[in-house]
Parts: sequence; C-alpha cells; structure tokens
Amino acid sequence: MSEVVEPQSPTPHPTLSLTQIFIVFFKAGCAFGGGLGVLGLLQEQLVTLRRILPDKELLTLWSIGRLMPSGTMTAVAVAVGYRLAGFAGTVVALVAMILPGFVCVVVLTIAYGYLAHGPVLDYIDATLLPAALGIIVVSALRLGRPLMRLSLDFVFVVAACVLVIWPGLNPALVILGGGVAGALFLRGKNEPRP
Amino acid sequence: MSLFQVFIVIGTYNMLAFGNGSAVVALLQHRLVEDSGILNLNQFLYAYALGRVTPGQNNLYLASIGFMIYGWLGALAAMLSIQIGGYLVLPVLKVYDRMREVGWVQGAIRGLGASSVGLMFAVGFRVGTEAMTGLIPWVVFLSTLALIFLARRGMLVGMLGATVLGLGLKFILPV
Repeated sequence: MSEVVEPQSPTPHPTLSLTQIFIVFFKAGCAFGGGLGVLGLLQEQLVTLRRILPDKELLTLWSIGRLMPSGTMTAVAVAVGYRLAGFAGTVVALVAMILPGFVCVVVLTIAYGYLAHGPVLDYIDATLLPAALGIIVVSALRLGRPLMRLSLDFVFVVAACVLVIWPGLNPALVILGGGVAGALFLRGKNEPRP
Repeated sequence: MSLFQVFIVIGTYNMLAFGNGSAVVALLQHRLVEDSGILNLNQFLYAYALGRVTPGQNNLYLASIGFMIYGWLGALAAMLSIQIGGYLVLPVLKVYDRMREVGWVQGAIRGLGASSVGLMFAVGFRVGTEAMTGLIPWVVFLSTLALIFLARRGMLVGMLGATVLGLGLKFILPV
C-alpha cells in the first residue's frame, strides 16, 4: 500500500526503503531495557543519525503509543513504519523489532532445564538492568531536552514523574491526563526553545 | 487449551492491561497457573524473567509462554496476538494528521509529550532503585554513559560493552 499524504499535514512524510526500515528496527530491537531501551535506539537511529524524524514527532508517536491498548512499542513501530513506507513498512518494522528478542526468548525457553535453577539469569539480570538504566536516562534526556527549562511544559514533566512514582498512578492514565491538561492549559502558548 | 485459545487469551489480556505490564502478568498467572494448571509457577516465573534479560519489548516473554504450551507454533501465535493490537494506532494517526494544526490538539500533544518525558524519568527512577544495589551496577551504569557520551560508540555498543564488563566483574569479584 502506498503512503497517502494528507493535504492537511504540514510536514511531508519522510521515507526509507524497506531494507533500511528493517535495519533500523532490528538494531532498536537489540536494545535491552524494555520499550524505553528500544525507544532510545530508535531515537538515535531516526533522529540523531538519519534525521528522518524530529524529536518532537517521535515523542508524540510514543505518547500516542502509550495510549493504545497494546504494547507501546508495537504501536510506535506500526506508526513509524507507516510514516516511512506505508503498510509494508509497518510489517517490516514489527518483524524486525521483535526478531532479536523473539529468537533469544525461544532459545532461552528451550534451555529452561539447564538455566532455571542456576545463577546465570540472575547474573545477566544484575548487569543488564544498570546498562538499560543508562539507555533510559540518555533517551529521556535527549527527548526531553527542549523541556528542561522553567516553563509550564516542565511542570507537566515533573508532575507526571511524581504521579507515577508516588502514588503510583497508571502511566497510561497519567499521559492521558497530561494530554487533557495540555489541551486546556498549553494551547496557544509559546513552546520552550531548545 | 487449543492454539487458538492461546492466541485469544494472550492477545486479550495484553490489550486489557492498557499499558500496565504487571496487570498482564497477574491475569495470565491466574489463568494459566492457578485456574488451568497448564504451566507450573516455576515455568511461568522463568518465562517472565526472560522478558528482563532478553532484548526488545518486555512483553516478548509471552513468546516463551506460547512456546511452553505449543512449541514454535505457540510462540508465533503469542507474538502475532500481541502485535495485532498495535494496528489500532493507524486510525488514531489519521485523525492526528488531520487535526494537528488545531490549537487545542497542539496543546494536547505538548501535554502528552511532556508527561511522557516525565514518565521516562519515573521509569528510570524505578529501575534505578531496583538495579543500583552495589558497586558493579554503578560501574555498569557509568560505563554505559561513558561509552555513549565520551567514546561516542552509540547506545547499543555502550549497553553491550558495559554489560560484558559487568559480567566479567561479577565473575571476578565476590560482590
């Protein structure tokens, strides 16, 4: 299916070949740290290195993905894949993104009898989590850089962070609340400059 | 439980959880372990643990559950069931593209973006409180940042390099 460019859309949609999409999403799928690790790699590939998407667009797609009743990164892969190459892009992006993890999960499941009662998984867990934390921190800093100055947007950042940590509100609800509050209080306001 | 039921149960629970991975775990554990006894608790917890130590999204552990029940077909059915829901984003994207210039939509998108960044920091805080429990985790964390920012090796190399360093230290040092 070919990409349909909406006349109302102010930004022309960028494109990548299906092979390039596969490479980008395969690399992203190699990231540890769950969805945020994958997002960090996507940010590096699409925003920093290839300059295919602006930071803000990727952040918006991720926010919309958080509101979908599916895995967040699944929705992001579909959205970005569609932006870049239409329906075929969604399939390639999804397959490439889940392939590394899927193969690892199945291989480790086959090895269940050997690994279930040993220390290997604990060792991997103990060393991967801090590395994943590094990716999450870098990703949050890069995507949130324009917001890190005194502004109403920054208040939203802090409020969302606090509400998820304590009292532990559902992240999807917090983001939805941020969207509603943004529609009420951020409309027509100047955006903070990076 | 038939292969089709595996597909439906995993896909439905994944969508019902609405962004809350812990809820999926609770629902599946109740259905597959306590109710039907298809998996024992050790198998279930092992599958869940794989989600943390393998690359990609956390919910890929569902492939392990599918594999334990129906082999490769089960793993593929589980993966397919959790990917299909992602296509719900396409109509939302269409609406967003049509309305992105409207004032209140721009405000909403800014609010969504800002709260998403806040959420990332919250997740970072939670992972940090869980992971940073000794010398080696700090070495791994700081090495990741150093490789990304100072050595400019990219995120993937930074993460894998620091992890290998951490594993080496874990075997060498008794901490």
